[in-house]
Amino acid sequence: MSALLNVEDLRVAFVNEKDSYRAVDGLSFDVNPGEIVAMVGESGSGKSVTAMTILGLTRGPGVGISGRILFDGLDLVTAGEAVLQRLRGAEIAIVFQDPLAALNPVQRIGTQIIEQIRAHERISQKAARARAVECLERVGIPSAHERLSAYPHEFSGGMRQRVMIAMALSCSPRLLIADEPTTGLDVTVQAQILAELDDLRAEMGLGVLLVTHDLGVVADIADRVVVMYAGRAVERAPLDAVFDDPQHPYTWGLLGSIPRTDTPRLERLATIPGQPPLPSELPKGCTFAPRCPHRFARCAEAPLLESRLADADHSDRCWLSPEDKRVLRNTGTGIGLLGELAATQ
Amino acid sequence: MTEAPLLEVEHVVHHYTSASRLRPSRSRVTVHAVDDVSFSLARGETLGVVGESGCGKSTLARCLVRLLTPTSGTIRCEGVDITRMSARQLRPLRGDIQMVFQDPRSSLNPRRRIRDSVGAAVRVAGVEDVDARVSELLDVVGLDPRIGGRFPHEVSGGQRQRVGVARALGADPKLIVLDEPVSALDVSIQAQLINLLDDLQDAFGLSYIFVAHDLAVVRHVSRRIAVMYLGKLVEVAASDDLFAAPHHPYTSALIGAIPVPEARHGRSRRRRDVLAGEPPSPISPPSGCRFHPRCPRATAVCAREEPPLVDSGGGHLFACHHPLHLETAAKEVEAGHERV
Repeated sequence: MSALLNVEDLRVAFVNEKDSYRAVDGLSFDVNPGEIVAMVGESGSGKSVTAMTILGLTRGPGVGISGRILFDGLDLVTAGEAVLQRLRGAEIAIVFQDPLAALNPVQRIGTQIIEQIRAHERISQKAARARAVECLERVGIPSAHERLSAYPHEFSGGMRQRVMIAMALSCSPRLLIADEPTTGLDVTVQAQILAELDDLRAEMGLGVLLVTHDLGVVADIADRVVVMYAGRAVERAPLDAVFDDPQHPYTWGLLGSIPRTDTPRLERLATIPGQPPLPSELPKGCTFAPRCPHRFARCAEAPLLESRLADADHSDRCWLSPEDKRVLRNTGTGIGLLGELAATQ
Repeated sequence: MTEAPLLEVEHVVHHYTSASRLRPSRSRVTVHAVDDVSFSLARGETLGVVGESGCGKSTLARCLVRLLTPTSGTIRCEGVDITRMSARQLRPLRGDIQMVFQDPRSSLNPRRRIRDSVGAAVRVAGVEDVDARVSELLDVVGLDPRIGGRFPHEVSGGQRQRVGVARALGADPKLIVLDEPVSALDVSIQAQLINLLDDLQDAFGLSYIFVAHDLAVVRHVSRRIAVMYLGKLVEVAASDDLFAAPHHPYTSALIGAIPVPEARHGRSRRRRDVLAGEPPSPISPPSGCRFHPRCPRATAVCAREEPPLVDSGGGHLFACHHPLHLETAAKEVEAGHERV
C-alpha cells in the first residue's frame, strides 16, 4: 500500500545575509490513511516548520526547501502555487494550536466555514450552509444552526477548537495536520477533542499528522511516533515501542521529565541537562551529544536514522548498542536520562 | 502540629463586578470568581491548587499576595490579618509573600536589565551590597551571574522563569505563590525548574502555594492538593490520598482525563469516562452543587442543596452529597459479608 503522505529527506533552511539556519534537516516519514502519526519534540525542534512546509506555507525568499513531500504521488515541494491552493483546505486540512488567531474575529463562524466550502466546491450558498451545520454537529457543537451566526469570541476555548476541526472537515480532506490541537485546553476538554479526532479518523479514513509536545496525548491516540530534536528525527517507531523500548537518549530524557500520576511519586524528576541548541549553532556530529551523559568518541560522527533492532519499523539516531541502551536508560523506577555530563571532550 | 500555621485563609470571597458601559441601565454583572475558600498552610509545606480555566485559582492566588483585595473573608499571615491592609501598611510585609507568574515575559520589565529587576527585590529586603546579592541569587537558581547584564528578551523561556524565581527569592520570602510557573515551558525545562523549586524549598525552608492546571505536575510538587471548581473548593487532601481515593466525582474525572505516557498494548484509544461539557459561566453558577449539571452521580438533592466541605477523617475534605469513597466502602462491606 502506498502511503497517503510520504516525506523523504525533507530539508528546510532559513537563509539571511550572514547565515543559514537548518530548521528541518533530512526528515523522512509517512502517514497512511486511517492512521495517526505523532510528531513529538520541544520548541524549535522543527515540528511546526514541517507541518507548514507540507502545506507550502513556508515558501518564500530566503527559504531553501529540498527533498520530497509526496501527497498521493504528487510532489508538494515542486508543485505550483495553484495546485497547492486547490489542495489546501480541501484535500489537506490543518488545525492550528490557537483557534483565536486562526479564525477571523470580525466574521461570523458560519461565514468563514461557508467561504471555505465554496472556495473549493461549486455548490449553492444554501447547500454550503447545510454542510456547515452538518460539520458543526459532527464535532459536537450544540444547536449548530444558531451557532453559525456567532463570532469566534462567543465560543469557549474548547468549542473554538471544535469549530476549527469542523472547518477543517468541511471539504472531506484525506489528510489532517493537527498542530498542537489540544495545547492550552483543560484536560477534560482535551480528552473530548482527542476522542473527536479519533472518531473522525475511524469514520472518514483520515490520515492525521499530530504535532505535539505531550507524550501523554501521543500515548492516547497515535499509531506511530516521530521524535524530533534540533530539526532531525532522532527516533521513529510504532507507538508501543517508543514507551516500552525507546532507543534514543533524548526520548528517554523526555519520558523521564514527565511527572507521572500512575506510579508512586518520585523524589526527583530525571531531567535532560542543558538546553536545546540554537539552530544557528548546531553541534557537529550527533546534535544531542552535548546534552547526553552517555556520549562517547563515536558521537562526533553524525549517526543516520536507521533500524538497529530486529523491528525494521523502529529506527533511531544513536550509536549505542541496543544492549547498552537497555541498561543505561533504566533509572530503577522507569525510563530516563541518568548520569552526569562528562567534561567537554 | 503545635506550631501556628504560616497562612490562614478563612471564607475568602472575591467577586468581580462590571457595569455595562453601553447600557448603564442594565444591572451590574457579578462574577463569583472565588466563593468561600478556607484553608491553612504550614511552614515549609507545599499546597497545590488545581482546577480548570475559570475556576478562580489565579484570582485566589492574587488575593493571597494582596494584588487583589478579597470581597470578604480573612487572610492571616503569621497571625497578622492582611486582608484589608493598605499598600503602605503592606509594604513591610510584602517581602514575606512573593509571587512567580506564569509568563515571565510579561512579568519582567522588558526595558530593565535582569540585574536591575532582581536588584529591586533585593533592595526591598534591605540588603546593603545589592550587586553581590543579585549575583548570588542568580547562581542559586542555576544561572550564570553574567546573565544579569542582559534584557529579558535576550534569554530563553526557562532562563526567564529562573529569573522570576530569583526575583521572588530576593525579597527573602517565607511563602512563594507560584501561578502556573511551568506551564509555558517545554517538558525538559519544566522538569529542571520543578527540581530547582524543590531544592530551594529544602535550602530556605520556603512554603509554596503552587497553582496549576496540570494535576500531574501539582501532584509531584505538593504534599497537599486543593481542587477548585467554579470558585469553590470541592476537595482538599494529602496528594497520595487524593490520587488513591478521590472522594469528589470531579476530582476523579480530572484524574481520569490525564493522558498517561505509556504503551497502549492494543488497548482502545478511547478513554473510559470522558467528562462531558465544560464548566458553566461563573456569572450565574448552577444552584446547589455547582458541579451537578456535569456530574454522572447527581440526584435531585444536588440541584437543591449546596454540599458543605466536610472531613472524611484524617483531614481529607470533600464537598459532595454522593462521594465516591462511601460507595467503595459499602462495596467492601458487602464483599466482606459475602465472604462470611
